[in-house]
Amino acid sequence: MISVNDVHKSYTKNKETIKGVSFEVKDGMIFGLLGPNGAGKTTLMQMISTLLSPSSGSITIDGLNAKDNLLDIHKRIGYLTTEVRLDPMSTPDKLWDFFGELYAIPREESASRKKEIFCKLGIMPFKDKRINELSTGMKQKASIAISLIHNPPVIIFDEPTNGLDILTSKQVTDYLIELKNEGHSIILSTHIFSVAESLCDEIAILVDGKIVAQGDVDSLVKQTEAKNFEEAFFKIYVEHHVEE
Amino acid sequence: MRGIYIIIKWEISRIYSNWRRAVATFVVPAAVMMVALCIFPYLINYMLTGSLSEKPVTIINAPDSFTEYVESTEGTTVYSYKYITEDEFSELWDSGEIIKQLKSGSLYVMFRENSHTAYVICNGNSSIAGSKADSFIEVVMDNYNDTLASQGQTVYTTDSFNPVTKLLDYRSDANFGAARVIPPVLVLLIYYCIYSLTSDMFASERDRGFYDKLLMTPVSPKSIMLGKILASTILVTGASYITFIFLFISSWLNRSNSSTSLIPFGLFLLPDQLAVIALVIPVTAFLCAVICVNIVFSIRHMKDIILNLQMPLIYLMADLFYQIFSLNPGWLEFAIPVHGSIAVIKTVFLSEYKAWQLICMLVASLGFALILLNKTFKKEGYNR
Repeated sequence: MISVNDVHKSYTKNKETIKGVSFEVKDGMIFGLLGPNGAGKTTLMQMISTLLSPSSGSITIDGLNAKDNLLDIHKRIGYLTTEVRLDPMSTPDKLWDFFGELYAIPREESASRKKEIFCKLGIMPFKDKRINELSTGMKQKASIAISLIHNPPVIIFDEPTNGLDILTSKQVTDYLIELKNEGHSIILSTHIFSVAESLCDEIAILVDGKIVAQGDVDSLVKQTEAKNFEEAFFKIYVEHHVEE
Repeated sequence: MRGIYIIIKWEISRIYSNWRRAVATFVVPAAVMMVALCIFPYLINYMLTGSLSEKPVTIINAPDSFTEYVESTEGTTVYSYKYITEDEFSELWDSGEIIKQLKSGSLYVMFRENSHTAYVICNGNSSIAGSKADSFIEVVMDNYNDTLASQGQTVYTTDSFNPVTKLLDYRSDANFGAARVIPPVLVLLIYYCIYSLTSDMFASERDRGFYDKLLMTPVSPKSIMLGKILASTILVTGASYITFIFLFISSWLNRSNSSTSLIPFGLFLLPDQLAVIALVIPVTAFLCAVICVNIVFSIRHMKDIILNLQMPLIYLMADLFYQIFSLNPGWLEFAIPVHGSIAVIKTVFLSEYKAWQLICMLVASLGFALILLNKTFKKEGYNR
């Protein structure tokens, strides 16, 4: 279970990027963070994945905090962002083996898992091709596979379908549902309504560094008396966004 | 330790898996060194004699046959002549002018009619002057003697010497010139290689987000950083050793007597001297890697990182020109990180190195590197 309690983050003295965010993500649940660009989604995701430390507040993963159990948390988290560009001269196969060693996965286990995930994501045909020879979708799939090498119970995906074509996007979202059904907790950030609607059990709407609304799609639509989720989001956004 | 080992293995395999990277790491430094060694003799020659092409030679008691020979070959050699008598030479000698001129690379040739000998006088401590003298004997005196022989006249015996055999006896002769050029160029190359490797291993990976992916593994951020630093140290040390071996082979294959041939001509170092250089190189590479990593993690933006990584190159270029002019490093120079490495290699080439100089350099370099590494570990950017 992921627990985020009153988390604040400021890069400069005068401006807070995250302003007291709290939520919980239970096992086997997909939790979505929805918000416009600059709302603080990526900062929040990076704090949950321990890449950034909060200015105040606490984040625990299965009761462990990053300060005392950083490496234990890393064993439980798989973090993926579309911003990651893998080493252009390596191949998905070599990268898998390298990360397998870093996660201390026994060779045989690593090999069978590689086969399984590569088949599932359709990486097999290009596993020995260099990353710089792959399309965006192929790169993204390789990156997803490597993030999940250690079969982490908690998966954090920052904009998982960003820049992907429809087919690859469908492949990725189907895989996320499969992971959820296997009992993984997933937090994903997105600004694509259809992704949020189809995947998330619970959605938090982040505006200017604050969670201004939280619940499942139906409850958010009802709460705002909107026709659909997209309209509900805009109503919430207009109500809470403050121009600086 | 396991994490450090995996990172080192990965980074080294990345270099070998791409021939362009391998060439850039292992062949380019050696090629740059050879080009530098081709250019610097001209530069040093110019600084010593004030001339790139014409080499002034003073002839004492020139026989008529010699002046006639010179007139007949005018425009075919690179030498310009000044003629003086033995009395004038003695006067100049007493005033100390001759010694001064010799030290600045001038060449004197004294003819003795009675013994039919031509003494080529030069500064024997300078390999440039030595090879210049050798070149004069080959180009001018041998041809002059041929002319005399063809006319049935007695030839002049020249005080000829083989620089290679001379170097074996007085090896500081060849190493003298090398000491001016090789140490600063070698350290400059070490920094350049480290700079390009750390730009890729740290700056580009941070920019690509790949470094974050490494940080998300159960290997500690310290191990990741140390692994990368040690990998670049190992690679650059290997490249420097290859450069060094290449340099020695070229030096001994090149038997040209031209004054502008590659230096060091007949380079010679004893095993203990080689061992000192073999020790200084990895320490310098490690220090340079730590400096680069500190710069990478002190600055947020990629463009600024690259610009700041280039700053030490400017310092090393300036140091290179300082080293060409300066020969005997002061004691304080051994305690200056990076510069101390140049000073130690220089004293090794001059066969003047002492243990305290090496210890001073090692303590200063490793101490500075560890302090800087500790500071880097405290930077926010290093684990993100």
